[in-house]
Amino acid sequence: MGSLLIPLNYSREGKGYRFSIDEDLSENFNESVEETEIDEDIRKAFEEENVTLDEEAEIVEIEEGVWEIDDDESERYRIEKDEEDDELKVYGYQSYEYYIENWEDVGARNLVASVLADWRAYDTMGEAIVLITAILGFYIILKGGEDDEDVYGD
Amino acid sequence: MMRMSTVTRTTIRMVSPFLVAYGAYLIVYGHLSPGGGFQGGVILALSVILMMIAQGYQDLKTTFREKLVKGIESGAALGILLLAFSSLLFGTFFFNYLRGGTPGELFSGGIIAPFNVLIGFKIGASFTLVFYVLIRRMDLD
Repeated sequence: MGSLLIPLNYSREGKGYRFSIDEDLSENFNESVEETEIDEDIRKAFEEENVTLDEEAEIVEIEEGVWEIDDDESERYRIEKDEEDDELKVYGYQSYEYYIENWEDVGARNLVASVLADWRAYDTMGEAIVLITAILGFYIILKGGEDDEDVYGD
Repeated sequence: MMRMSTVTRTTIRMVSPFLVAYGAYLIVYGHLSPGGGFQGGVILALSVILMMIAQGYQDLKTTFREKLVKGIESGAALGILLLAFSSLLFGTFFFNYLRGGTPGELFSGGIIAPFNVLIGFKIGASFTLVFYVLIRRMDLD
């Protein structure tokens, strides 16, 4: 579901996280998953970074050390344990921030081109396929060979 | 089909090469400046269509053969798919495996530039083909 929102190399680069929180909170995360309700300490840690989680926000454990919070305002957060820095890193699922922060990865100066032809090349290919389908339909309906003049139903 | 007046024909004959150059510029420099495959491709198609309207379809249909246009369109579409699938060798579908380079230089941004070129050819050929199909119908009537 949410994975469609992430750019392809989202977690591979290990960059682009929004903020990090204390590692001790990982116990609270595990408890929250069991109780299907988000712990107060987690809410506080998020509020320190100016993120207010909704009352009905849901939390799921994806794998060990990786959680996902589904906020009601169509925002999602992915929390990953970072072994090197001993902290929990919070990734935002709103991809615009990711694009702007990692602009230089692509090496092109044009952000629009980077989005259209790198991170979102898949969509652009979809558009091209829509066009080819349209042309195909157009061609099949309107085509008239030079040798059959009867094509328009006379 | 009718041809247009001498003034129009001469003007369009003079402007068309510049349109082609501008379209090509938009496509090739799509990853550095505003522009890109779609926009450049439309301008390419436009230059062909303008020539055909002004000079008369009958005279020009031997120069821009329909088979060639169809070939370019399908070839470019296949090329885009090939490019997409070639990324599978390096990671995920459509992963930009040539990333890097100094931002601002022509050879930077990895597969963005070839992708733009293919898209440009495809869009240009597509619109020209639409024009062909429409104009042939007019011919038959």
